[in-house]
This record gives sequence, C-alpha cells and structure tokens, in this order.
Amino acid sequence: MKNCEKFENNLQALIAGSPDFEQLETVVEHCKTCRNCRELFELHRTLGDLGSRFDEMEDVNLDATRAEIIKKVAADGRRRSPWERISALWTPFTLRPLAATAMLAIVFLLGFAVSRIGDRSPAPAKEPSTETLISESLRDIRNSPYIFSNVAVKELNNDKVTLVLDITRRVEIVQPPHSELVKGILTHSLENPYMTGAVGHFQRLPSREKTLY
Amino acid sequence: MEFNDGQLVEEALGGSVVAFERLVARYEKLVYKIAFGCSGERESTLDILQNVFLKVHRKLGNFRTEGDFKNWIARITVNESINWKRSQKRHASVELEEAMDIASPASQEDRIRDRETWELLCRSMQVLKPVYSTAVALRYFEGMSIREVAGALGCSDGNVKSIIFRSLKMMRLHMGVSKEVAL
Repeated sequence: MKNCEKFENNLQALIAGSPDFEQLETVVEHCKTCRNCRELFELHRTLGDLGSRFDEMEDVNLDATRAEIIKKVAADGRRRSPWERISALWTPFTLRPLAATAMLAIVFLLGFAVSRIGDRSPAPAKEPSTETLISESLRDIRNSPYIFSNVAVKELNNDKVTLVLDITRRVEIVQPPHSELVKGILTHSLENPYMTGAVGHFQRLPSREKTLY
Repeated sequence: MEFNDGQLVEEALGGSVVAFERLVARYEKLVYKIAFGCSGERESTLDILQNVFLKVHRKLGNFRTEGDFKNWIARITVNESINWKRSQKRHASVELEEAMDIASPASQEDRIRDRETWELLCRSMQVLKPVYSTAVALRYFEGMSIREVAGALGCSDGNVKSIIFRSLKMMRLHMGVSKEVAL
C-alpha cells in the first residue's frame, strides 16, 4: 500500500512529463508486482501514444465544417450595420467604464438632491415684480375710486420704474336706466371697450410700502 | 506573412472574414480534441466545434488582445462541452453505443488493436466530468504541458496533475468493469 502511494506520486511526475530516473525506475519496479498500478501506468502510456496520433486515429478533416462556420459568420457579418461593427469594436473598452461612470453619476446626483432637500431653508421673500404689482392692483376694480388705462411700464433700475397711464376718476351717478346719459355711456363703453374699460385702480402696496403711481 | 492571434482578432473585429477563417484553421484541431474528449464521437464533436467558433465570433470583442487566445478558446470549448454534456444527460441516448458498434476498417492486426483500444479509451473518457476529460484531452491529445493545461482550465499545476491522475483511475476502473480491457 505504501509503495502504491509512492507510485502515485511518481506517476504524477510522469504525467507532468518531468520524472527523474529514480522515479521512473521505481514506477517500473512497482508495476512488476502491482497489477492495479501497472494498468494505470499502461493507461497513461497508451493515452500518450494514441493521443499523440490523434489525427491518424480520428482522421480529422474539418474543411467542410470550417466552410460552414465561415458561411454563417459571413452571413452574420452582412446582417450587421457599419455602426454595429464599430460598436462591437469599442464595446470591450467602453461599455463597462461607461456603465460604471453612469452609475457613479446617478449615485452622486441622488446624494446631491437628497442633501439639498434636507438642507433646504425657507427661501427669502421675493420682491414682487412690476407685473405682479399691477395684477394685484387690478383685483378690486369695482371699489376703486379711480380707473386707469393704457398703461406702459419702463424699469429704470432696481428701485424705480416709470409708469405711463391714463387716469380717470370713478364717479357714481344715479340715473333712470333708460336715461340718455346711461344710454350714451353704455353705448360708448361697448363700442370702445379698451378706451373705457376699467383696467386697474390705485392701492397701497404693503410689500414695498409705497404707492405705485 | 504570419499574423499573430491578436492581429487576426483585430482584423476579424473589423469585419474580416478571412482573418477569422485563419483563426478557425489555427485552432480547430484544438477545439476538436477537447470536444472529442468530452463527447467521444464525431458528429457531436463537430456540432460542439461549430458552436464554439460561432460563439467565439460573437464574443470576439470580449477578448483582450494581450491575452492568450489559445487559453481563451480552450475555456470556451470547455464550457460548450459542459453544456453539451448536460444536454446529453437530459436527453439520454444510445448514440454512443451505436457509434461503438461501427466496425473498424480491417487492415493490419495492430491497427485493429489500436482502433479497439482507442475506442475503448474514448468510451471510458465519457465517464469523466467535462473538466476532467478536457484536462486529459489537452494533456494527451494536444500534448500541452501541465502549466498550459492549468492556464486553459484556470487552475493550478497541482490541481491539473491531480485531476489527470484521478481521471486515469476512473478510466481504468471503467475499463476494468467493462471487461474489455485490451491494453
């Protein structure tokens, strides 16, 4: 048994193709007395002998198979567009780094967004724009003592704007519904809606604490 | 002019079918031997071989030109052989048995004996795991050194020696059981 273990070590050296003389002699000597090991050794030799004559044993002629492979490869190549070929060329070099970069960018952006949401402080009160002020001034036209129309706004700097407009005093007249005055005013209003329409009123603007006009 | 593997791969990646054909011609025997070690019969070996090279062509872009193309293609062949073996297990057939019944061409007595021995060896290799039969095929059919086999299989030299030794033991056992030992 002990000799068989030694034989196995020596046979592995033979398999590796690097036995020394002593190992070879030990193998041969052991094979004379041990049938199992002899068969193993013979198998190794036979495999080496017949394996080295593989082409003779198998009569390998792969011309037809090769031609078929090339035919399929050529057909596959024709189906590919030039762009696909270029992509195939660059894929091994760019795809993985690009994917990694994209992932890093996504993680970074997500982290950035989360940190921005977490740190968000109340935004400073935004100064109303001129347009906003005018819109606000149009809210309650009915109660305003004045109407103005034909408004033009020009911003001078951050602090001042120039407004050019027509101002009309709002008056309250009590008349019978079919009076000439009522009829005349309504007719004129309907014919000239932009000239006569109430488009705004003066009011005090709390955000700037000044009167816009 | 003799192109190295890296140059042929780059040409093939650029769409050159001729370059790929040269690669096929260069490595078809290697692939055949590995596949044969696993399948043990010609028709399946040719199927595996064709699949291997079609896969090589599709995955050519994954090969690093500074790498060892021989090892790369050997590994693809091993994987393809393993897949083949699995599919055979699923669809057990008697094809191998039938193949073994094909009469050897009768010529000289020693050639007949060699043929019988060869068929017996091939048959006994079928009991091995694909990695084992690949190691045997690379070492004995292709004449690779232990280091080269280790490179192709992606394991250590010691592992390869152990694998081959165990393979021999299993094959001998199989041959002994079949009572057809002609060694």
